[in-house]
Amino acid sequence: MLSRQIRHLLISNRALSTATSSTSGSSSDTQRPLWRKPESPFVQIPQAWVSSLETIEDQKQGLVDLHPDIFRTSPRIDILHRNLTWQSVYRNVQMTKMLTKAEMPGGGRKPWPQKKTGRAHVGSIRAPQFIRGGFANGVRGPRTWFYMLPDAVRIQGLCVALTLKHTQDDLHIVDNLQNLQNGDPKFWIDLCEARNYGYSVLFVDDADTVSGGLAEAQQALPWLNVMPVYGLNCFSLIKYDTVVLSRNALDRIEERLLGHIHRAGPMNKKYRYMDYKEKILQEAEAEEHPHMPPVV
Amino acid sequence: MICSTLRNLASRTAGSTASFFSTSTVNRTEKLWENPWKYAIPEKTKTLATVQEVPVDWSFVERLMPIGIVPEVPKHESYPTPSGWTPPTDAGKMHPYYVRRRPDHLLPLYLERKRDLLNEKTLDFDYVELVIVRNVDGDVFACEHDLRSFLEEKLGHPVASHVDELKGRIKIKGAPRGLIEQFFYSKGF
Repeated sequence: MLSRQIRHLLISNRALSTATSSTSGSSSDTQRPLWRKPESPFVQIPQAWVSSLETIEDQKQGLVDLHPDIFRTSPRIDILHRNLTWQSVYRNVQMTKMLTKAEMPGGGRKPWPQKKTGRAHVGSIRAPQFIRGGFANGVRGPRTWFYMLPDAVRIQGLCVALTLKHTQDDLHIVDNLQNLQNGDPKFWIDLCEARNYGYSVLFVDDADTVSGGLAEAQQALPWLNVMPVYGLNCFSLIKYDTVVLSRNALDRIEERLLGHIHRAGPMNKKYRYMDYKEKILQEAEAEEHPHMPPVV
Repeated sequence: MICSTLRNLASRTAGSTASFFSTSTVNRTEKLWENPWKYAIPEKTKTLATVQEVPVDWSFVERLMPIGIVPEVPKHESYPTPSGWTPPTDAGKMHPYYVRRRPDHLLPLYLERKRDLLNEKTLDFDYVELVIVRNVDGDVFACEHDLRSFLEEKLGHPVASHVDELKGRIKIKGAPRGLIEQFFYSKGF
């Protein structure tokens, strides 16, 4: 909903600008309208090359302006660290339960009298000192490390990760990822080698599915992966050596992140299960595959 | 009730057999007992409703819906506005530092209440109230120096401050937020 409003604003801006200026090359968008640019004179507008994935060599088609609020924020590694730990920890669930001596079967009776046997003073056969006895301070029951980071921290984490990728020359922009000609894995290995992409590459596109050469390549190569925009997260941005965004993906990411940065209302809203309970329980309602269980 | 009477009338007038099972079922290849459900339950036919889009003026509804994105501030005749708000001016870009406004078009001033020492007489904790200035770009130390000298001149007593250069934050102890706001408005931020 927020991104739709920004899209309307951008479309109206673009219509106004194209009406006045003559249409230059479609991919060279140096004067791309940046929505709500920061007014600070200390903020430079970062730029990135737009290239194509049809040939092995990098044929640069033009430059594109990136929004400084997303691609040139201050490098807050502490916020990025919070995001990464949260992502790796909030899904952890521990199901182990170590039973105490009261929960172990048996052990209700004193095994031998207190005095005159010469044996230790013992109250039950399931005390911790016994073999097959209970645990005194064991791990107790199902436990979760679930917590939600505030929205502002998560949004800033994404912006910081994108900023780091861009400033360290690991972010590339490409015009199109769908229906590419060459699906040969050797071609893709040569392409990534020639362009110095690194150990692993992540391609991000606006659409849910990929078709064409890239689909074939990512099936064959484990270090080459594709992701939709809604799957973007700090962990993946840092895990993969290089991140390649398509032009549509770049527009969509900027729309959504800016929509959240400029949203009306507090950014420190506390997470409450009751706000999301209905949505979570209705998650798989629309899925009615005859054989497979719903994906939740 | 009416339907059944009509059907009876129709069958009588048509002159066909009044029996429940018509002769055509016997001539068909499929027998009744081979698919009893087909004849036991009446046939359900679906009819899709026709759709017609009617042009409706939704503006009366849209103006009641919650705002998604903070809108631009409307133009006022004179500044400062009755609440004391001033828009950022070009004079703000002349300084060696710049304080960026929040997305709500407000100055980035925040309050913090930190717990201080225990007061031995009342046995309550004393609290320290700090004002934090965020989003400071450029030379943060110069900003802090200018702010501190302004506050000390106005208040007459020394003011403590702390600078976090990486985050662009200045913490001020001993000054009311109104004065700090006045300083930043006067600079044009």
